[in-house]
Amino acid sequence: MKIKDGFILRKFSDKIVAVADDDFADKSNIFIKMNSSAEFVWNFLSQDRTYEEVVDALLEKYDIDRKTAENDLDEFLSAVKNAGLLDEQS
Amino acid sequence: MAVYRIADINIKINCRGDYLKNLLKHYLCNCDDYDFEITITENDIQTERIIANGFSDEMYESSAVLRQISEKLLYEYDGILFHGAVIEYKSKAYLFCAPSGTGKTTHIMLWKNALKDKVTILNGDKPFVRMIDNVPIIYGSPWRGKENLGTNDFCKLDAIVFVNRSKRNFAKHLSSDESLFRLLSCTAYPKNAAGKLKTLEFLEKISAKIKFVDLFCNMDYNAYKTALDALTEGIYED
Repeated sequence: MKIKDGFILRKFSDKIVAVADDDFADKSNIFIKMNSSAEFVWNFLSQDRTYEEVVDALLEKYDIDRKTAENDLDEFLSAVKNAGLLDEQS
Repeated sequence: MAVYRIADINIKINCRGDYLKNLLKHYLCNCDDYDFEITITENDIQTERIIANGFSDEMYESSAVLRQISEKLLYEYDGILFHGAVIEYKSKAYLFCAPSGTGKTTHIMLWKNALKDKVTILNGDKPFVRMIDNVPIIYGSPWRGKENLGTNDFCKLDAIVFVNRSKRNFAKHLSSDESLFRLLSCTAYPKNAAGKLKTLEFLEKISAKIKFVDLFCNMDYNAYKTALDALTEGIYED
């Protein structure tokens, strides 16, 4: 799975906002707000990765247990899937 | 062509229709100098017609001018157009935002009825906000909504209140990032990426300077007291 191309990340307050760029015309009004670990996952998923690879990357980067990493990832994936931004076939 | 002073900017506007001329009349300034110029073309009218069909060309001229001013403000004058109703009370401006039909006007009229001359309605529908010397200033505009409420004046913006209908009156403070999506829904921003990024940049700047309140309210007198308490943290004198 990977995040679809066509977004620009920008800081807002202590969060990160993903803004659709002009090539992503049909989603042009989407803004997604993320904390820093979500931003990490977003960037990690700019390339095609498996679910396990993302969980392992989170465990390496943050001092959290596997259950927490999976819960955080599930929440993030649910949000980007709902917004139609996850390419699960790649 | 006449020059109008809107949000502290001199704008030369070539009005064709009486509708726009009438809207702008309180903003006419007796000067020749201007910062920029707007002439609406047939293409601009056509663009407005595509966005919202079924209005007169005079209305389209007005919305096209508003669109051009708000884009110019965003890119060159550190400002943005809001959709909301704004009042001034004790030298502080409070902007009430909500989707059309929620009751923004009803709510600000509760303030007006309770506090009479101590409250000024700056604008009932489309005020401009600019950062001037790092202070957020809100300006009345010629676009005053269907109730035609407003005055040609400005004030320091103290807070933005998001109005939600509720049976019970209560309010809570929001952080700027909690407010972001609601802020975006009550601002007019261009749909291209550069415009959206510029909008975020501006909203981040004003967010550092103002309070955000989520107001859940009915149409009773107590709704205004709830808002006043939240905005002044209970410290006020009638």
